[in-house]
Amino acid sequence: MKLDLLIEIGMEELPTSYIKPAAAEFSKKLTSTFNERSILFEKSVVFFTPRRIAILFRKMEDYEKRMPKRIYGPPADTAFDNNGKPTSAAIGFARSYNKVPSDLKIAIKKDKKVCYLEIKEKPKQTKEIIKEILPAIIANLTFPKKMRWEESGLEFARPIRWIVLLFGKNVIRFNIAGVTSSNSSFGPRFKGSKKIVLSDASSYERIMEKNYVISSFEKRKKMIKSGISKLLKSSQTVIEDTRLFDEVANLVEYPTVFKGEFDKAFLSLPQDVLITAMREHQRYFAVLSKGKRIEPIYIGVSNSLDDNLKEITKNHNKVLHARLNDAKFYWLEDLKKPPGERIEELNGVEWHRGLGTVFDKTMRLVELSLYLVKLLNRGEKDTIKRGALLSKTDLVTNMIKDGKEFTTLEGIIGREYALKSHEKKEVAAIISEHYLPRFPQDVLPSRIESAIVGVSDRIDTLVGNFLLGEIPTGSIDPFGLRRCANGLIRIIDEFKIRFEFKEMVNKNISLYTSQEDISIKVNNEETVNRLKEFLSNRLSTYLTSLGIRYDITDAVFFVYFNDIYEAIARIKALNEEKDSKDFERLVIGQRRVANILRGVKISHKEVNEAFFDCREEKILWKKYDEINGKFSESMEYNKYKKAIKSLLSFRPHIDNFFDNCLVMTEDVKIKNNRILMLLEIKKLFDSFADFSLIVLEGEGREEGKR
Amino acid sequence: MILRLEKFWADYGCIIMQPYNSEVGAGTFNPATFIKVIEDKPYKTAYLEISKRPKDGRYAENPIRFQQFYQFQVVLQPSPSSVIDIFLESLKFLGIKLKNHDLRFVEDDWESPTLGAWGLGWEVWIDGLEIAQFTYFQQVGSLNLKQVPVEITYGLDRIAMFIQKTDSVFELEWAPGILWKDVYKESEYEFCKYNFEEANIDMYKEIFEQYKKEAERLLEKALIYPAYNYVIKCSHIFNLLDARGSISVMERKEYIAKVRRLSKRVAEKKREKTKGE
Repeated sequence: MKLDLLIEIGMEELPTSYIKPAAAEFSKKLTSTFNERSILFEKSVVFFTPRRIAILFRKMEDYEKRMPKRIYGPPADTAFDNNGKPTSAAIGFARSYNKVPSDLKIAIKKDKKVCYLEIKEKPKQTKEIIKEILPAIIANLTFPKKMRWEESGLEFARPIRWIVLLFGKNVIRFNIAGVTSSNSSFGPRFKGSKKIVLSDASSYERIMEKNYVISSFEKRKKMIKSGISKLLKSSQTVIEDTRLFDEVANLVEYPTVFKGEFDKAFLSLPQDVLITAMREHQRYFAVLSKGKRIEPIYIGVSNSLDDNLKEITKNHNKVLHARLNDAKFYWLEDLKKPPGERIEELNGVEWHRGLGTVFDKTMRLVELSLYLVKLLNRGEKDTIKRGALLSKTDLVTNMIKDGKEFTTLEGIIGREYALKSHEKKEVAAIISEHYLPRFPQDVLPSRIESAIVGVSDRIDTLVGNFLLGEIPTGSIDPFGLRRCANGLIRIIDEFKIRFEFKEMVNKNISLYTSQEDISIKVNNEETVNRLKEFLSNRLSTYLTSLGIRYDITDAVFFVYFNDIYEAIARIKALNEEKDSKDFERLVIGQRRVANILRGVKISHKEVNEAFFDCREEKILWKKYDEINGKFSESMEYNKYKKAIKSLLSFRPHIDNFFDNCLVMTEDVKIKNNRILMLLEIKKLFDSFADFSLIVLEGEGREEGKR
Repeated sequence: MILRLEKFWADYGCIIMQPYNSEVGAGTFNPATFIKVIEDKPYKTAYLEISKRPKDGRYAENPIRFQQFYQFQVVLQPSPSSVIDIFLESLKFLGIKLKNHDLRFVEDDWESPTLGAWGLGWEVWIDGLEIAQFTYFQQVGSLNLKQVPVEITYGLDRIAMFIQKTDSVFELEWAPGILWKDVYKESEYEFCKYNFEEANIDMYKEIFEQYKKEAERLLEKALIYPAYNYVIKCSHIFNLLDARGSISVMERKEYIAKVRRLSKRVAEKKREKTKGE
């Protein structure tokens, strides 16, 4: 028989960010357990609100499906004698399972005939199995933080207050954390949490909605969306913010959208401050006009019906007014002291334990940025210097230091204060943009000046942490160094920022060690190497995300890393040619070269043209001269595509050489001369990438090789 | 309002206590909470607390932020399963019609670094206004508790504003014909001026060390309550110095660690003593 199964865990309000992942995990764990136990069902539906997670399994079998179990016994030749009669071994084996020897069957196991019995076990009832598995699944759900609240000591995100467990119309009873499952759910708080008796599992969603609980997340979101479009003029839009949207939808069981307003006088605050004040604490959506100007109104979502919306809105307005007042207090206080006068204050802010203060970091940033400007000969030097100097000053403003909800404005508010104190707008831009990108999909800085400070900041963070040995492993990356490295790579690639990696790191290390308040043992060599390894891994991931295969990446990294931008450019150039007609033959040719040269020991001498005795080798050597010249010129001017094209032009000549000339010939002079020539050619190729590492079409790419 | 809450919780079986006679940052600091819950026995209490938060002062210019708050504190140990419903009942008892409002429980994990106490719970919002804190203590004085207490802290100033429908605390009717601003505006402004500008930094830094020593000395003699009294004082002095902007971020951490070590020792002594009984 097929029945609907409903499991609802009723809780005190879950933190919004926990709800969706917990529901997904619960559903996944139940489903995989049902699959393991062969309990068939048609489909599952997941519901959740702040106070409940519910999973409905449609048309579930009321018994598990059990295949007969095979139990193996003695080998066939011991179980039966030569006449085919069962021996005592066979009789004993059968008897121990309440069977007779004629029940024995024979199977081949590891090339041997073995007796076995088929035991049909009685399938268990689904309801029994659920009772068995549910407590452990519930207890093992993962949450960022768990708590205890009653005697059993069970840990969960928030107290569990009821459990509905219905199979069709019947309750399956079990206990957990002092709660016994039943068919009673509870309504929303604004209706007094009234008891709702569910007569069967299948009507869950409908009955809950009748009692003002919208159990479907998607439906709540739809209601909010349509509510918003009803309240706004066609020229107005709420600020786009999917995170806030999801959060708001998970703060309510029954969403009612309202439109509030605030005093126009607050529009004198920076737009980002207004948006943050609305979003971070109050969870309101800011409203923008067509021209992207902020309007003195906002959208809120109430956990209630719309009976008393006027008063509710008025109350929300009051709270926002107080918040904006607070923002204004911070803003006006902070304006009393321009960013330029806050640099010394950064001495009081520890940047990283063991690595000094933010002031120290600022000084290193200035040095590194100036070093890069000189090296690149790009960007306006004074702008960069000033921007680097002011880049962290907002950390000691009231807005960031005290205002919990405004800490997300780090950088942005610094830009605003800089503009207010008449810093150049390019300088102000550095303060906000050197943090970009903050996350994988985030935008990059808009100017080279910001990019240079951004690169310096990230290198400095990486080097500092690596000096302390704080290197990310597995899932442990408390200082976000991976994200830091990913940002670094993106900026370098986008802005074509070139520098000698090793020199930059050494320069950075010397800046650290010259600081009085830092005492760390330094091993430059080791730091450079470990950073290199870490960064090349991040680079591989980055390039993979651009659709470039790891073997192409590895081929370049194996011979070259020192200028990250150049490594990326070489890899990209190589990748573009990977499908060209000469590429495959060239790789094969290079492998042959590598194979021949493997283990060859030869004292270095010049190639002697007098020893050439094969036409194709003469041509190859002539081509080598030509190609070498072109290649070196292209490399010098950073034209990697051109460089790789000239290498590809080797292809017919190498093929012809191998087809017509024998390297391992008997004449030692001629042989050694050919080897010397191949060594020269390999050197040329190796100066770009190790082509023998490239995997060709049809060959397996083993991840393990890396 | 205070009388009503006292009546409600007395009827529920709470011991009604009084505000502590030294400056505290929250009702949790009152020994009626901090020390009593460490006994890890069934316990119910409710009391008014006047909490001092020097840093939250706004020179009597912000309608809901000030340096002194009226809080009503309830501690139920262990936490009853219907505790939220009981709490909502008490709001109704104060005259708030819950069905007409936007009621939300917003995640807020509470922590008092100086008390070595933390718990999980919520801010309770009515129409976007935070009116109460609700916390299941997980640790107090850096100790685990078997009987998990729940703490409810009502923000009385805000609830009063809500009930009286005023836009600002200044307009609250404190007694017939007398407003909050008549009673407190002057002292609120002066305390802000004192906390932010006038408090004697050198003096406070010095007495912080003296009080700390006194607490340590008393702990040696197992005089738990008197020792704890000095821990509370240290905590308030730290808050003052912090508001005054006279301690750097690093020093701030050190101050917090010092007070936490003291409160941890108080908690340990108390636990030892409870076990010995």
